[in-house]
Amino acid sequence: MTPEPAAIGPADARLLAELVEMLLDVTGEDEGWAAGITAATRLEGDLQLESVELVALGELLRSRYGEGVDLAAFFAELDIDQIIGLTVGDVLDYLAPRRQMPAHRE
Amino acid sequence: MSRFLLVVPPLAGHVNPAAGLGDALTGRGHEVAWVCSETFIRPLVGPRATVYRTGTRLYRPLGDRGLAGLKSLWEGFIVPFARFTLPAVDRAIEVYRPDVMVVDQHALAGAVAAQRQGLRWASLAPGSMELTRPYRALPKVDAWISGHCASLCAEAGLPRDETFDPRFSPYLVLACTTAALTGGAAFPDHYALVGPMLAGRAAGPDFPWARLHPGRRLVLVTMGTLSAEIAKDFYPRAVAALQPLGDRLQAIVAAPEGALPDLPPHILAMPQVPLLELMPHLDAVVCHGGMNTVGEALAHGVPLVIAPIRHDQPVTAAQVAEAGAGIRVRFARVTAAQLRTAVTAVLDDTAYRSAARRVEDSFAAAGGAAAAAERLEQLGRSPAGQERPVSSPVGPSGL
Repeated sequence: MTPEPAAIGPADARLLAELVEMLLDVTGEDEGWAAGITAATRLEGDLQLESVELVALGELLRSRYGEGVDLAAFFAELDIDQIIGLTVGDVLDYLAPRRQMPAHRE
Repeated sequence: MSRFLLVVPPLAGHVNPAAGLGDALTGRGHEVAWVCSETFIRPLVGPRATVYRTGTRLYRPLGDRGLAGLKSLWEGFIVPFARFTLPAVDRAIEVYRPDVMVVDQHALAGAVAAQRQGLRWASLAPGSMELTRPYRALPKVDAWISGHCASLCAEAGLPRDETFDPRFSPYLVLACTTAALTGGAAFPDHYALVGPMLAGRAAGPDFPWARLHPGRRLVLVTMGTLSAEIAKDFYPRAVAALQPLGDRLQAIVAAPEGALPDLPPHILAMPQVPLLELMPHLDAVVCHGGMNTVGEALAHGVPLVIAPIRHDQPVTAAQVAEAGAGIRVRFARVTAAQLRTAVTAVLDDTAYRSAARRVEDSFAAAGGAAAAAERLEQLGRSPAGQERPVSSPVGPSGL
C-alpha cells in the first residue's frame, strides 16, 4: 500500500509477467493494454477492474499458486482507501511469500 | 386517514418510485407531503402537493467507479446531503406533524429526525445496494459506511445505539424488488419486498411513434440520467453493435443531443425517451442496471443486457443474470461484437423472455405501490408502545 513503486528484481519481474497474463485472461484486453502495466498501476483507477473480473482473477491466482493465495481474504483486510489505491505491486507483494511454486502443483 | 411525510433525495431513480408510492397513498385517502428538492419532485407530484423544500444539492458524480465511486457517493452526497437537509426535515415535522415518515435510504436526515422525535418511520429502498449488503465481503468498507451513519446520528444528538442504522427502519423497510431477484436471502418480517412502484411519472417527452415499424423488434439503449458523461464511449459501441441488425430490429438510444452523428435509419437517438410508454413495445433493453430502469423493464417482462457502471448496478446486474432475465456485460470493456451477441441472445433465446416474465409475475404478486401503501397504513394504525425491536439489516453476502 506504499505509494512509491519499488524497483523490482528478476523474480518479481517474472511474477509480474504472470500476473499480467492472468489480467489479460480475465479482461479480454490486448497486448497493448498489457504493455502499460507496471507495479505502480492501480487495479481500480487505471485498469478499471470490475468485481466479476476480480473474482475471476482470484480463481486464477488460487489455481496457479495454491490455496495459500486468497485474493478475497486479502481484500477483506483492506480499507476503502487501500482498495482504491491498490496497485499491481501490492498484489505482487501479497503473492510473493504465499505462492507455491509450480513444481508443487500436480 | 393518516399523514405521511416522504423524505427523498434529488435523484431520478429515487424520486420516481417515491412518487409512485405517494400516488398510492393519496389514492387511498391519505395526506402526503414531501421533503425534497422542489425542482425534482414538483413535476412528478403536481402543483397542489405540499413540498417542504430542501433546496437543491445536486449529486454530480465524477468519473469514479468501484470503491472510488462508493466513496464519492457517501462523502460527496449522502453525508453532506443529510447535514444540509436536517433543518428542513425538522421544520417539516414541526409544521406538518406527520403520523408516519417514509425515508429513502440515502436521505438519512429523515431517519435521524424521525428517530429523534420518536416518530414511526419506514425506510424506502429503491435500489439493491443497501438491501443486500454487497460490501459484506469487505468488512472494513462495510464498517466505514456504518461509521458515516453513526457519526451523523451522533452529530444529531441521538443516543449512541449500536443497533440503530438510519438506512434500515426498525419498523418497516419497503424494497422495490422481490425474491425473484434477491434470491434465497431471508429478510426479517418487517421487510416488505413490494417490487417496483411505477406510477407517478410525469408525462413523457414527445416521441416519433410513427417511425416505429411494427414488424421489427425494438431495442432501447439507456445508460441513466447520471451517466451521460461516463457512458459517452459506451453509446458508440452500442451503435456499432446494432448497426448490422437493421434488417431485423429498430433501436432507440437515449443519448445526449449530438453524441451520435450519422446514425443509420434503424437507430434513433434522442436525449429523453418516454420510458414507461415505450416499455410495452420493447423486446430488449440495454442499460446500466439502475434499479428504476431494470424494474420497469422487468415489470413489462422485457429481458435486459446490463453493463453496470457503479454503485448498486453490479449487484442488480448479477441478480438479473442469476434470475435468467438478462445478460451482464462489462461496461468498460465490452466490444461491439460481444454486445451484439448479447443483444441477439436475449432477443432470440426465449428463455430470457420467459425468465423476465417470471420476474414480472413476481412483481405483480408483490403488489408494488399499493402493497407498500397498505404496509404503511398498518404502521400508522399500530398502537404506540408496540413498536418492533430495533434490528440490524440482514441479507446475503453479495459480490
